[in-house]
Amino acid sequence: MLHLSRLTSIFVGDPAQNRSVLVVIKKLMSNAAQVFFRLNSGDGGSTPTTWKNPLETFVLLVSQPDVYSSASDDLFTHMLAQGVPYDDLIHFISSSDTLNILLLLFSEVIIEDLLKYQTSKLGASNLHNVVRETLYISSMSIINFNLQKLVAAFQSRTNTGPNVAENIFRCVNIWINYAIMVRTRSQGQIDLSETFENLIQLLCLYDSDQGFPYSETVVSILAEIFANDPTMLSFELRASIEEIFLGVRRGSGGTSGGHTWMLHFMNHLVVNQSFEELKELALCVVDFLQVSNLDVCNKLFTQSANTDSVNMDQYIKVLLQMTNFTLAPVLEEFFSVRMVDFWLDLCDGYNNLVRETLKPNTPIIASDLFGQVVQIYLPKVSLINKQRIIQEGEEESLLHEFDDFRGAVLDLMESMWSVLGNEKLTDILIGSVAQVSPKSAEDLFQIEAMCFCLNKLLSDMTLSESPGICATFGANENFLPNVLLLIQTSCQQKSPANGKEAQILSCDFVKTGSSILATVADYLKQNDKNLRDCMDVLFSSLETCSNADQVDTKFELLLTKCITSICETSRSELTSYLPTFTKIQHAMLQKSSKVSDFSKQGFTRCLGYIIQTYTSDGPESQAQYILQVIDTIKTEVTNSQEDRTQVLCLLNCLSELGSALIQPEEPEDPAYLAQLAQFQDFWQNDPLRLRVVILDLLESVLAQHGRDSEFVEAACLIMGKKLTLPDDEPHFLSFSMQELMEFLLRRCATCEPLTGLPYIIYLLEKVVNHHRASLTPQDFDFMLTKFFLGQHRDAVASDPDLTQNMISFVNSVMDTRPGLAVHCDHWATFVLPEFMRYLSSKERFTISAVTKFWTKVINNKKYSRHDEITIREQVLALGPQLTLQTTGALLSSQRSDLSYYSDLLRVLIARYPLQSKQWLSHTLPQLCENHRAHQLLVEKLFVTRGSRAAADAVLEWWLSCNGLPRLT
Amino acid sequence: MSSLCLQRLQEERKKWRKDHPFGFFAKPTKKPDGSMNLQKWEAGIPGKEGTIWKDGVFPITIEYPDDYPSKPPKVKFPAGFYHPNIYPSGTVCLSILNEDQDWRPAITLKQIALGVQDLLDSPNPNSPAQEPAWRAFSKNVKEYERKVIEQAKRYTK
Repeated sequence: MLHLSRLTSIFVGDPAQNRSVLVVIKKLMSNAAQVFFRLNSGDGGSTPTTWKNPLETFVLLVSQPDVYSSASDDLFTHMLAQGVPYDDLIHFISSSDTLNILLLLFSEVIIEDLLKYQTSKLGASNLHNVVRETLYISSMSIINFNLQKLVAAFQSRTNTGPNVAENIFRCVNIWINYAIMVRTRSQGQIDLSETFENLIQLLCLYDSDQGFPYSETVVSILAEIFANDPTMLSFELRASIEEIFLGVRRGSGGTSGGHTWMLHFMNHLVVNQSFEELKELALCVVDFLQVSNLDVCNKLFTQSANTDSVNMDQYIKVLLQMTNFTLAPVLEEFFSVRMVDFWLDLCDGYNNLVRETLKPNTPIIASDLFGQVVQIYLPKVSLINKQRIIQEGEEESLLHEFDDFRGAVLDLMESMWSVLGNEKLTDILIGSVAQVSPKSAEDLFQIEAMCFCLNKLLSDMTLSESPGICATFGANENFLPNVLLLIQTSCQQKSPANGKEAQILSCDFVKTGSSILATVADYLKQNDKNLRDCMDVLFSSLETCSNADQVDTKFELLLTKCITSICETSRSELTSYLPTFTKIQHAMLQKSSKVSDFSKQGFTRCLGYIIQTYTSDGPESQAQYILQVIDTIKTEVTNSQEDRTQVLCLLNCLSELGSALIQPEEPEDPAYLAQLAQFQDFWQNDPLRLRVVILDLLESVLAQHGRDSEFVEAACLIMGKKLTLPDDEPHFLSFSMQELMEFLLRRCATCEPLTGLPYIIYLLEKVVNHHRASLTPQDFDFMLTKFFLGQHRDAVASDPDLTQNMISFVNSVMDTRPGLAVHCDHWATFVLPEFMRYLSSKERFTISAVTKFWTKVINNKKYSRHDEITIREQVLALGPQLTLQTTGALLSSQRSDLSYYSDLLRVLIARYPLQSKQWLSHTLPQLCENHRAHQLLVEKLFVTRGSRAAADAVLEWWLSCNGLPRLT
Repeated sequence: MSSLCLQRLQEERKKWRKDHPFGFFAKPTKKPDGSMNLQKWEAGIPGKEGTIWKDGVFPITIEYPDDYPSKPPKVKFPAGFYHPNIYPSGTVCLSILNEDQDWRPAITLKQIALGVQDLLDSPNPNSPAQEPAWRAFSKNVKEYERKVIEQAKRYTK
């Protein structure tokens, strides 16, 4: 402290000359703070020295340097305990700006260090008490005096050094942070009300000459408080801030002049284009408003609150005006952006109110209020504002921010729908879209904004069950043409020649347009003309996406998704389009076409949807269309033999066609039902030999790409398409068991086992499951031999994935018809011994599959009597070995794999209680010497039935036998 | 739901609305009666730019247990989502979501969302949750990438 006072004297003598000394002063202050913390931490009684207030010590030392510079320890100790009266303190800081700044700095340093110190010390409550009783009082005296001095200086137009104000606000900020910290840690309250009153006074200082010297600083201080702990401000203080921000007090009648300052300040920020400061103000105001959101909600809507309704109306009016700030959101103003949260909370608050508490006219008030909010936000979300952001050349983050704002408004719309309903929101938006006679770009922006919001509302509805909404669409004939215009215009504008701006906006336009068309697909199907208009526009738009650039790819993707969605919904209504679709699909699949693979596949699926419902002319006509698609694919495969990607895409198209031809639900059409037998016969006999054509096609492709797993996968998907359907459902891919097995054997012979065999096994599994009734154990033997024990035996044994595939295959048979496996020759010679060995695997997939296998062996409801007898004999014979293998593997497994084994043990004990007790008692001592743990495990397993309890018992045993600490 | 859980979830909602990474969305679902279900959220995770995931915004659900934040939420993609660390049911396998691993009650929704986004392009081959994507990722990167890109198109931004 003596050094500090000495250096302070040097610094005060000539601050400009001795600027470098300030660093040392600051460090000395920090050291002093550490000493102060140590002396006052703990219970406060164990330290010989009492030092309660470093600020006062500093004042004493600097005021009387002659007395203390060579003082004895006794005198110094006496001085540490000595106080400084308020007047002396004020006299001290008034005597010199530099001393004033240094004292503020000392207070700031101590509290800043205290905040850091707090994070490392738990028992600091005594220290906080000392701070509250001494340092807080001195610091508040200094701070408040300084703040009042700033006010006085402004009023008398005298100058205060710029450094002084800076230091005061830094000190204020640090004390606020400290006050927040002690509040959250229940370490008493630090009341800063007087400081806040002074700050509020500074906030409102302005005149034409001096402008707003402190407003921005105070706004940022208040913003920080409202964001973190708004209740730091007393109710009265909040009420006066409310009056300043809004000009209205919710609690009392009348308005005040406080709001004039706010209007001037906002005007000042707008005129000076201080958009960052305007944003800070918006954050501050909206955070402040949210503190009282619930109160506003109650006062506005319920009868319980005693409210001055005129005043409340005025209050809401100001909020609406604030939301409707006449600048571009995100780019220039942030009020509307932040107010989304306020309105959303208010709306949610209203929706959650108990209906009985509402005033009689509340529904009218609410719908009127939220109706106005809708009208404010529609132009705000318009892409015209995004256009301005792009035009201003702003960085990309602002574009993201604007998109984010649009997303937030959608949530608000969704919430307001609960208040406004279809009548006052959805219907009005539909009508408004239809009413626009688009003549200019602005009109299109308007349509887009409304469709953007409408899409969100409609996507939550099932239009096929909403005749009211469909009637509204019907009554607004221009709705659809205007939506289509969005898509058409964006296709015209998206060319790279029109620049980045046009490309970005076009993407948004087409996204909104295509999304809403897909959403209203259920309505479109009700009107042939609408459907035709839509498809025409969508197809012609798709044609414009011929560049392989990012924008065209995006357009194509969005349009294809929309077409797919409409086709899926309106499959039967689009049958007249079959020739057109077939022609387009043919053109799309050409090698020269620039359409992406995703769109080719998606479009083939669309065509498939329509063919699926084209049943009125009998199966042959339907088959002819299928044949046309297959022919196109076949020709293109021939033309593109060297183009791997194109050929793979064509196979995927065929697979998509197969998926689309599956009935989406039970057929109800009486005309089709009458012909069902005819369709079944047709596809069973396959007079056009489509299956032969497809098989030949696949064989020719796989002759070239048989070792390429992606081709194997695609081919297996095509071959297995019908296997998940009932036998009697007609489908062009109804391959016989023999065709499928021959196909699989050929694939198995030529595939790359590590990557291709899994797909073959999946299909084999489906074949076995579908045809299980006609299979014999000999067939199962044959399959095991061919697919797992033949040429791929080594690969299956050495690759854990393939091992797992094999076990899962056997498991699937154990699930459906276990007799097939149990009575085959490989069961005893291969399956049981090998699968026993796999219990000690290290790979989780294998462990999971093999423990499932043994669980299914021991306990299987699908066993016949004959199966049961065979299995019982086998388990009794294998029991000791199985127990040894399981517990041995369990002991050396990872903790996370224990549950697999404990489930198996649980089933074994439940099924073979007498034998398994002996097996366990005999086996466990062979694993390790831990008699007590073994005994406990056996006892617990035999009294528990639940999976969780068994797992706990196993875990305890595992911990104990592995020498790990027990669970607490 | 405990009051601690409710209070924390309200706080998470407030924080998310005020500050969330661009391109992400997250909001509580609605109960059948129209009220908000703070224990079940719907969210969207955009694929990172410059990765094979970039074209999509992938939907997830986040379910908070009654004893949240002591226990982590359960994060799920749609069933069958293609990724080595996503279970066939769609459940995400991520250490910060595992009570026995790196979950801490202080982990926020924003951290979870960013963690899941990070996981998309940085799968952990040591913690496989589904076989097809894991196998392709380990043994046939070309196939893996093709399927990821196709999936991203299905969930286009």
